[in-house]
Amino acid sequence: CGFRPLYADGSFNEVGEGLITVDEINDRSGYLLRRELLKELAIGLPGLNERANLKVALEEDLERITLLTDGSVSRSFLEGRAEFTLTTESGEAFNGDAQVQIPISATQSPFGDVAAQTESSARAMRELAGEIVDDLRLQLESAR
Amino acid sequence: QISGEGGPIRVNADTSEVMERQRQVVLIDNVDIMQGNARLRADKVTIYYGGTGATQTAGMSGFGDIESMVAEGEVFYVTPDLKATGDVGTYDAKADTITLTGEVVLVRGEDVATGRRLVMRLEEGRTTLDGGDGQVQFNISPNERPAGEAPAEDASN
Amino acid sequence: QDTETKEVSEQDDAVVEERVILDADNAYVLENENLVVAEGNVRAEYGERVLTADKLTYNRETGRVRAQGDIVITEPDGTERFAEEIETDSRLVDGFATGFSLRTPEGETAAANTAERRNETITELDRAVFTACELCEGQSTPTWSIRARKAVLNEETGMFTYRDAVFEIAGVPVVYFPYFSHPDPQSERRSGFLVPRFGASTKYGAFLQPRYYWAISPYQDLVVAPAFYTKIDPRLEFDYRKRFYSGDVNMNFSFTNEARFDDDGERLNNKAFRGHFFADGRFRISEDWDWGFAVEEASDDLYTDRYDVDGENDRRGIYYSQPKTLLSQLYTQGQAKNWYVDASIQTFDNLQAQGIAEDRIADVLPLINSQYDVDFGKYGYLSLTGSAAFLERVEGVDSRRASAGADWSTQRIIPGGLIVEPFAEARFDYYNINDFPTVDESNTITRGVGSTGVKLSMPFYRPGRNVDLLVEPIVMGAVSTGTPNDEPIPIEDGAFFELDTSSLFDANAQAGYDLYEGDKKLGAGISATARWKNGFEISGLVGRRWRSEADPAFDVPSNLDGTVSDWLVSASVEFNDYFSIDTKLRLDDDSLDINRLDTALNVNIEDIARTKAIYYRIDESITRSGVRQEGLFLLGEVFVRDNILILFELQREFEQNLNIRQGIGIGYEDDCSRFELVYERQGTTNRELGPSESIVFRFGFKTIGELGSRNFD
Repeated sequence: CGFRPLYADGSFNEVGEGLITVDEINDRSGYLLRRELLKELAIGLPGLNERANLKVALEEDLERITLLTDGSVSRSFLEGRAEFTLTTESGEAFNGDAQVQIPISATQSPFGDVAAQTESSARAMRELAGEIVDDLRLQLESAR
Repeated sequence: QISGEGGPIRVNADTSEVMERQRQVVLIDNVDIMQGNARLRADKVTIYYGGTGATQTAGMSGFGDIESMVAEGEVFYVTPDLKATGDVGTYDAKADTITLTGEVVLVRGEDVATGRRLVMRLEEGRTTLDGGDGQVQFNISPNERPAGEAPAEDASN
Repeated sequence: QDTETKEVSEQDDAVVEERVILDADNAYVLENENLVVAEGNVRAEYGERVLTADKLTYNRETGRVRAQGDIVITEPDGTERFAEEIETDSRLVDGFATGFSLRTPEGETAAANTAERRNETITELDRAVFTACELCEGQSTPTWSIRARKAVLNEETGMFTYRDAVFEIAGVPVVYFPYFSHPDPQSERRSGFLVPRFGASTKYGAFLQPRYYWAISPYQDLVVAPAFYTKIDPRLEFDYRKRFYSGDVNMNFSFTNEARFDDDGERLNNKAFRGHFFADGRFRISEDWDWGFAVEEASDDLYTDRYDVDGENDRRGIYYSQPKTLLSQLYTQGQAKNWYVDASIQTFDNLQAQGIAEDRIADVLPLINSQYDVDFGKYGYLSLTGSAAFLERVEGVDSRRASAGADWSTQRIIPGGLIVEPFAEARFDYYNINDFPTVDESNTITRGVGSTGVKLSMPFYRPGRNVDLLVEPIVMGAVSTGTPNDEPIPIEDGAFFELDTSSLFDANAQAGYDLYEGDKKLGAGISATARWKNGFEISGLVGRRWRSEADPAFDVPSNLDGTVSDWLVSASVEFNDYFSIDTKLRLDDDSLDINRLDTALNVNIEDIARTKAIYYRIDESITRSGVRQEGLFLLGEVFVRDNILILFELQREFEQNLNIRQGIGIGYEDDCSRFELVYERQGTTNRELGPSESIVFRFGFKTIGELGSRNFD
């Protein structure tokens, strides 16, 4: 029914070291997002057989829903938004944006909340990296 | 007369032809006409005489006053205040005007102006520059020194 | 008259001075008056300043320029000045104009009968009108404007000052000022009065808060804002900011001498000194390292609620404070291309708890996260991690943890398009615990945990005429250390967590360090993305996780209980950036009914509607409190007619039928001003502070400033 494996003809990155470089992104979430992107892009992108550089602008926000009678938090949402641009060595540019929301159930202990912030931003960065790579796969594949 | 103050006109050129019947004198190559402190230079100047009037022109009698002059080729008109160049210059005695047409450049003090047609009313001291179908361009240096007061150079006459 | 012919020397010996370029249809020169007159589409250029007019007379004697008819002077910064007649110097700078008006690039316009510009900095307008509203055709009066007998713009001090000024709204005079000044929006900071805040609330009656902004130095400024209330004594608030060579400090603090009062403004005890203090600062130590601090203190638990102090939940350091809990933190952070470290200490002040409950809150001395990454190219990526969390409690368990770990993974493509990602991770935990019933007497526990396995995925692609499809089945299998959670370790950092689509394919799906997901496990799912050419996109993931054996340490809410997890679904629908819905679902593993639903809606259509909504519903069977939860957070505005908008806000807990916050309002917005009148009702109860209502009136003018009790974006 017309489906074809995306990486049917092997990896585009047999050369070993990464064809795709990712610029540094600030703060812990930025660091984690960059590591995830490097891992996911290690095998390259369909139809991309030249060097390319990925720039990502990351925004993170913690939305608090305070619906308990005394106004304390009942649920939080860690939102990650990324705007990215992949520019190939020959000057072609692919850009897009991606967003994720990680729900966090409320915890009474303040340290529990701090640990939840750390853990959910690590998860958000993994999910955001997946979305960015899927978006780039779609764009590069349809541009072939 | 080519200067607002009148006075004797001295003319010289490499060659000149006098055509008695048409009362015309044609001056060719390095034509240099001076009157007072004004000066007209061109490659070729044709002077038309009116046949009447009291002007005495050396070596030619009965020509009377100059009615008009047509200067062509590298026409320069220089006075203490300004210097104008153009392709064709005509002097009309009755209208007491000098008109320069073609690529006209007018320089006054440090101001430079370009246009297509320049009309100078000598007596009135009014110079009009027209852009023809295009525009006139003036290039003025805004220092407060009035024009004509040149940087230190000795007076020539 | 001493005149001499002047040869035009080739090299121009005068200093290279800007020349005036004059273009016109025609021009004439009057010798004796030494005048140059240009007529018809006159355009004079001096440097970057351009003047266009119908006629221009340039007097060489005096160097004065007089222009007439439809004059426009365009300044280098884009400001345009219009006039019917103008007389100015040859640099087109100072001079006198009639029928004058001016428009800056930001759209501010000023008009006056006559204008005089004495030098580069002072422009004096007579009978002037100033506004920042774009005047569209058919609109005769701007939304707001300032009309004055005399107005002076001093470009050096950057101030517009008016004499006998009248402030008009839609052409109707509203208020008269004998003397009024506001900074030219293009200039930098000026000391002066900011726009005051005012409003009313059942808690403290009507209130007015004038604010004086003092630009102490180019690196420091202070806002002094006394607040006056009808029902209670005044309160003095300060906002201080200072920028250093390597960082900056911000402080917001206030104090008053007043009793505690309830939501009707009734005093409950005698007056005493009360206040709040918020501060944060961040400084760069080196290229990679910086450090910072954040302080949040209040004299009594309800102070910030009583006076509606905003900024309580702002992010002041590397961690957010929790609502109703003040967090003070001191931290350092270091980062480079292949390593990251942060270390921080945190103390909490819970605004609800008192006495024993307060003592049971753990201070964190310190919390450390560190990671060092090595890229082996074809042979994969290795991460070495180190972390520590030392929790001290006045009353209850002190638990100190230190961990070191490593994880490795690489990706290979098997011909045919299968992506294979083998991985391995190992970690060693050291715990030192006291006041906790450990099995044997020694209060140190050590534990080694690890996992190894492989993740397989195969993305398929189908291009279409108007929709492209990407489908990717994913399977992850892993073997981990058996029953790692037998040691009696206090669960401090992962109790709240549950398996969802973002951790479905992780080797260890449990978050935090205190619990670890052991034994054998399998995560499987399929993700799909459909993207239409017109910008419409639907993407989703469905999956599930199996475990070789049940681990009693995992409860039902964590979704890691038993051997089969609930179904996990995440879906999102997007249409460019006008509209997006993101939903995450947890479906019961046998009945398939919705155990948990989290959905977030964002609508952002220019000039039509801006709305943000979050809705969640958690079935009681999977909550830790055993109580069903269902909540809605809704905030937005809708344009009902051009420029008229309805504002609405609702925060409601359906299960307890509780409206935490309701707001409805009406607003007017055009491109130079915004007015809002909003009625708000707060439904929370915290000791003596019960529900309260308030009317908030805010209006703001582009470039001059905002008025009202809470600024809005």
